[in-house]
Amino acid sequence: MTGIAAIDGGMSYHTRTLREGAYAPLFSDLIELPDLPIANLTAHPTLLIPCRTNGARLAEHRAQLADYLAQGGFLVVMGETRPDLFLDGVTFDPVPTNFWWWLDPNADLGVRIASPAHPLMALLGRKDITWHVHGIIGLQEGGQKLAQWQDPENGGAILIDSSRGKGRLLITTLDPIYHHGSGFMPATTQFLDIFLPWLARTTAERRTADAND
Amino acid sequence: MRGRVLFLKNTVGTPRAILKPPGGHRIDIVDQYDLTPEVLEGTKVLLLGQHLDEHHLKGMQGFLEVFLEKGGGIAVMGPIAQRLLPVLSPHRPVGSGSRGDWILEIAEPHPVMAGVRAKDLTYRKGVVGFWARGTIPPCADAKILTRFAASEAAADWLWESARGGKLFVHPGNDVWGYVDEPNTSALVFPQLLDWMAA
Repeated sequence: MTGIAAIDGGMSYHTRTLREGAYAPLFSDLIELPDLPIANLTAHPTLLIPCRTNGARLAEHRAQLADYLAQGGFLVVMGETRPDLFLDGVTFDPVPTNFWWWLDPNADLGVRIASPAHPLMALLGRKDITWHVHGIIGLQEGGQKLAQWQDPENGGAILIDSSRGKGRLLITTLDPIYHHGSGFMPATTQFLDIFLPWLARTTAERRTADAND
Repeated sequence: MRGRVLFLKNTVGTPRAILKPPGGHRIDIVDQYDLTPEVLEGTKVLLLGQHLDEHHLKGMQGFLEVFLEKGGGIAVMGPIAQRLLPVLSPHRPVGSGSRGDWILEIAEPHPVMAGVRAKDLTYRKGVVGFWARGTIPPCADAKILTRFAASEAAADWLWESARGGKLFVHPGNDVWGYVDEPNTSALVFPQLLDWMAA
């Protein structure tokens, strides 16, 4: 039991990532989105909100998610979820997605690792986080910027790790679960191959630390 | 007279081609979780896009079947992971991921694909695989509209019930996302609406 629960929005790419294939054993529990109001989130050390979960629906459960963080939960929010709709103190600025940048062999999407010493980023190379940029996030309470998009006009953070009281919020605009579960963009599978086992290890370490408190 | 078209919504935003449908069609938008048999009353066509909650849809299977049997039309988009209707199987990839696996060809002629060139479906800005990278295996009496040239696996297909029900199956990204393409792939969505709502 990894202690990672995930919200399951029921989309095909959620099913193929959360319920089928190599990553399924990494999830201790799946919470179908309509069941979120009755879910005991504090039973799960880590809660993952996968890519493209409907942020307008999550907004109806804003207080529940805030409570989860306040009580020490580790909330992981993936891309294309509109976290500004369901989390306090989060800004999201969409950017026009360049789906075609890689057609030029010399092109550079502009994604950069900002904190190479962070335990997650020590495992990820630039190519592992480079497929599309959908938007920029900001946290009013601050946090450690792990990756960014370089752009003279619209650049900013695309992956942030932060503390929220006893809780922890890891938030990104990257959408690897959508692409992996839809069977395209191999970099997204490479990202998940590194990210999800790291998340399981980090969850285990937090549990051990809590038990020793 | 054209029938009512209903789009089930499960995203924050709504695609432009749904808000402003082509060909003079009108599309009503309903939150997915508000779908009931009563909501389907008077509906001719139900559009099921690739971002819907399939657990929820599967729970609706009984009355979706009745809707189809009574002459309704259902358009299913995306690489579905669940058997949303008894005639549908989960999507499975075609080929081993190389470009040649996903070259499409037009199969049987049909108004939905009238005037559509296979190369406009196969290539998007020169990239292969956007239209389809796998198959939702067709039922026995399906009409195959497009298929993969190398494997002959079906891509787009449709099925009509004895009482006039119409099922259209597209195993890739929502076809309404193509209406602004500068080629014949833009014809598919308006022609699909024309055929299903007739």
